[in-house]
Amino acid sequence: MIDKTSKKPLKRRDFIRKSLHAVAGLTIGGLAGILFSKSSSEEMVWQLDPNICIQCEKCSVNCVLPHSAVKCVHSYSVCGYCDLCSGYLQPGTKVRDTGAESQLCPSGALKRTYVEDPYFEYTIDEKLCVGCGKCVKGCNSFGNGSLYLQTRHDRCLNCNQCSIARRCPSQAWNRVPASRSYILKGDEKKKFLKS
Amino acid sequence: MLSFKQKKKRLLTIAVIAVSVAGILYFGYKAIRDNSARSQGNPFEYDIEDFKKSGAALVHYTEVGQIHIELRFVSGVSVGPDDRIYVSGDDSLLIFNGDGILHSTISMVGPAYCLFVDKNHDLYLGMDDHVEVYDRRGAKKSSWESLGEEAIITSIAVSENNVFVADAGNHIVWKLDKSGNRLKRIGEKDEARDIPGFIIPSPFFDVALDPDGFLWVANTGRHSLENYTKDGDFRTSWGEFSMEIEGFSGCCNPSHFAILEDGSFVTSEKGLARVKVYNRIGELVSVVALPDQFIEGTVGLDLAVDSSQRIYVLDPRQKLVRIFEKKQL
Repeated sequence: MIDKTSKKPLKRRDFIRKSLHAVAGLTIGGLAGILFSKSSSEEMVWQLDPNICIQCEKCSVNCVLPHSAVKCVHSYSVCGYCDLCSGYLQPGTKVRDTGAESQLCPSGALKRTYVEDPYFEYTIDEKLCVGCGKCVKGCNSFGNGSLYLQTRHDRCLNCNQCSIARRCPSQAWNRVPASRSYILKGDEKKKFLKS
Repeated sequence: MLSFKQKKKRLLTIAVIAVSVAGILYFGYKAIRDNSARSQGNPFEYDIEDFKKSGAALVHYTEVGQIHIELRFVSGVSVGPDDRIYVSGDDSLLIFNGDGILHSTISMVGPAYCLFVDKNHDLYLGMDDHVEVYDRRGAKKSSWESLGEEAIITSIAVSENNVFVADAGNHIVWKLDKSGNRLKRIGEKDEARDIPGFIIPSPFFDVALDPDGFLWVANTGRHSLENYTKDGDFRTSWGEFSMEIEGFSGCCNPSHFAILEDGSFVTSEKGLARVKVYNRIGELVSVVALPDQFIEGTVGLDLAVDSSQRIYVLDPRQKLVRIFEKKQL
């Protein structure tokens, strides 16, 4: 008599096939899991919001690096290319020249080049810029705000607790996704967001 | 064994020494702290505080009233021939009577950045790149064609037969007829005609007509007011750069101006938010308001004048129309 309740013995071929199915399933599931976890937890980096920044000069002295990772950047599409640039010249200056006594930048990092009467182009020498934001304050006070501060990510160590952010009086520092690591202005913003 | 007297003397000595030590420690600490506080002052700080006080002795105007504007964004002010006050902002135009009571509201599609009310009570509104005309009841009479992709209309002045439109995007003043047909481009750089060209670094570019019918334009990048005939011939100019009260500060000022009935000028600035009056040859005669009367960062102080020569200053930061009157000296 045949016992109907008894199971068929598992053959070696079936065992291998089922094992392969299980391994394939686990692999696909694992990969999907890894991809999902990576997409949902993109690396975050520190950035300064120029719309909140009050140019208190603390960025220049509170970075853990010997030379702050915060630098002045320039939106050329916003700039008025003024001869009398309030970001370049000392307030109340009588002359509009490149003399050190006329310049606002304490380290001479902001350079100006004649374009045509009466326009000048302004560029920043990042090696010299200390991130004090003095030019930014001048530009914001009288001009269009084309000069502003940003953390340069080729220098920033992305500390777990940013020592500048901790001391920022206006709480202008935020964690932003590494793929959108700059908070830009003008046409530069449009290009950056398109890329 | 010490006597009571000796014990008392010793305790007194210890107490005097303790008080002295505590005093030395306290005053020493205070001196060090004061010194360190002094040394924290930043001699390189961006400082324009002294310039904010410049001209205090010349304040000949006093604020006599304020109109609160219930809008999120306010952009322009004008006073009509009947002294009604017109304020543009958001998607509407608010009309107040002379006492500052809201009379009516006109709804529009999009905000008007500038406006002018002519002698016939017609409203000319600068809508970004084109002009729209409304009648006094708020009915749209016409919408003129765009002045181009680059056009940014910042000011309008209207004469008997012509409309002058300041276009900050193209750096020119358009002369149009009252149907919106383009007649002339005024102010383009032309060395043969001694026209210096408008330098407009930011979207502040004002125009007005003086009592003699000549056109005045704020060439903000040159810190001057320039005078043109209605055909666009350059006549004269005045104005100089200075952070002191006599001149115009920053990169691009005066941001706005209006003309009084005697031909003198009311000007406003950004950066150092101040309102001043110059006579018709450009000499400073009075200060209306100094930076301490505005919130820091206030820009866009549009101006208007009524028939009593009261000055209306639009304060976009506080959403107010502020009314100034000359003091009785």
